[in-house]
Amino acid sequence: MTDSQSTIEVAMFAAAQALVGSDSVTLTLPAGATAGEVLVQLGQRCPELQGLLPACRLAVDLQYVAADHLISPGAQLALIPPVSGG
Amino acid sequence: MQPNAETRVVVELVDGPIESEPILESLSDLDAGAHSLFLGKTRRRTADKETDHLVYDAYRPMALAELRRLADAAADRWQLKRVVVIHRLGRVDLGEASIAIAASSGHRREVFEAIPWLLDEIKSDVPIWKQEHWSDGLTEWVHP
Repeated sequence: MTDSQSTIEVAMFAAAQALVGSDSVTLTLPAGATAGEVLVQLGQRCPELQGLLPACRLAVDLQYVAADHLISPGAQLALIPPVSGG
Repeated sequence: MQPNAETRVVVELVDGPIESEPILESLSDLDAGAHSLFLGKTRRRTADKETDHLVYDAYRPMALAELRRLADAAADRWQLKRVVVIHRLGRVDLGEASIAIAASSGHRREVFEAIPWLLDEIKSDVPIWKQEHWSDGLTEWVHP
């Protein structure tokens, strides 16, 4: 890992957690990585998520973000599968 | 739950049964003529399948933030006197409530509109997930 990279954990829930068998996945991101790139890297790192990923959203620091959102080092990331509360 | 005269909005995630009476009491406001409570309960049959029980999981800090955002938005939009949203997590057996949404307002129309709006928004955006435990022993995370 170089200075232009950072490791970051992505929290997993529900079906995503069941598919990867863990409550988080650690990724190494280049500086300036976006939310969209996190999703792409998750799919490469965890092929078992491929079918679910198109329906998922990414949350950063407890808020949904768009694909072009820049990920800051230390941000709190979570993969949000389709919700089903109520 | 400890609402007071200054608390218009209460949101909670709970791990045990949801009690209706304290919710109804917390709606009290002498300027509120309309009080309404919706309970979403575990249903026995879905099409030709039978549910044994449900299990709810959540991304708790974000779920609370989203519930608060939506309840505040409803309070502002319909000028509600009080709003209460409580979601239960963990195992919820048949006939037990997983969610309570309650509101009071000056007149009936506001609560009749606000409660279904809140339920639809919660089902669309709040990171809470339902796992069906069917009577045949199979389980599945629900994906609407």
